[in-house]
Order: sequence, then structure tokens, then C-alpha cells
Amino acid sequence: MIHSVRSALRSVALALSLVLAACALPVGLAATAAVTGCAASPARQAVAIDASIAGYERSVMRLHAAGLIDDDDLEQAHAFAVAGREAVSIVELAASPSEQQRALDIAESKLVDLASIVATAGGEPPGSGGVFGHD
Amino acid sequence: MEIFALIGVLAPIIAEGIKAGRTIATADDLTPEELERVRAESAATHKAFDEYVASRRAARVVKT
Repeated sequence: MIHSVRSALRSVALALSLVLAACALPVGLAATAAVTGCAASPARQAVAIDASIAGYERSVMRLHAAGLIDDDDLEQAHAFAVAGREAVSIVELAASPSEQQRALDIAESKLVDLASIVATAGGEPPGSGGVFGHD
Repeated sequence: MEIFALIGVLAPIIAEGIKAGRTIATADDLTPEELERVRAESAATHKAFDEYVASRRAARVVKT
């Protein structure tokens, strides 16, 4: 009886994790859409994307510390974050508007890549030692 | 118990996403001082993330 209740609770927790984790990506995508849709200067857009990358970096650290993403995902997230940050820095140094836009597009795509790692991490079946504390 | 642990992990993550989205949505309205503060906060987080990844790499090397 107790075992079945625990199993049911785990199923609910997993479903909840899928819903919550799925929320993270739309937030990132909506943020990205806001960047491309608003008339902010490229420099301000770059700062905003950089802030969003930083937000996901904090998320990745929390997920990794909780055992919800592994070292490979951590490394991949780091690579995306560094590429995004480099693109952001290029925006500030770019000589022409087209160069700025190209750098913004790259930064934005790396932000989406980073967001996808965060979104999928919470939805993966938890391994032993995760927050579910498998038997 | 497990649900609370999961919410404890995921809630700050959702909050980060919302915070980042709000920063982007209001990027045009930020004063130069606020913009500088956002930039400084991001730089501090980037540094912390780099250090975290480096420490994990070092831990893996020690383990092998």
C-alpha cells in the first residue's frame, strides 16, 4: 500500500517536473521573441540576451548540483553559453548594422540552445541519487 | 516529500527565466545605471558559471 502510494507520488512528481521544465523553454523563447520584436538598440538587445544567458547559467548550475543534468550536459551548456557571450561581445564591437544583426542572431540561437538543455533536463527520468531519491 | 524537493529545485529556475524575460521586455526602458547593473550582474554570473564548470572538471580529473 505504502509502496503504491510512493509510486503514485513519483509519477505525479515526474509529470510535474515535465510541466515545470517545459515552462522554462517558452520563457526563453518568449524572451527571445521580445528581443527581435522590440525596437531596442542592438547594444541593449545584447545586454538583455546576455542577462538571459546568465539566468540560464544559474539554472544549469542548480540543475547540475541537484543531479538533474550530467557532466556532459554541463559541458554542452557551457559551450553554448560561451558562444552566446562571445556573440554578445561582437555586437558591441561590430562595425556595421548587418554585422551587429548577425551577431545578435548567433547570440539568440545559442540562448535557445541553452534554454533547451534546461527545459529537457527537468523532464528526463531521474537517475539514482537525484531529487527523487530512488530506492 | 519528493515533490517538494523537486519544486524547490525547479521553482528558482522558472523564476530565473521570468526575470530574464522581464529584463529583455523592458530593455528599452532601462536607465543607463540599471543597464550597467544588469551588465555587472551578468558578468558576475558568467564568472561564477565558468568557475563552477572548472571546479567540476578538476573534480573529474582527480577522480580518474
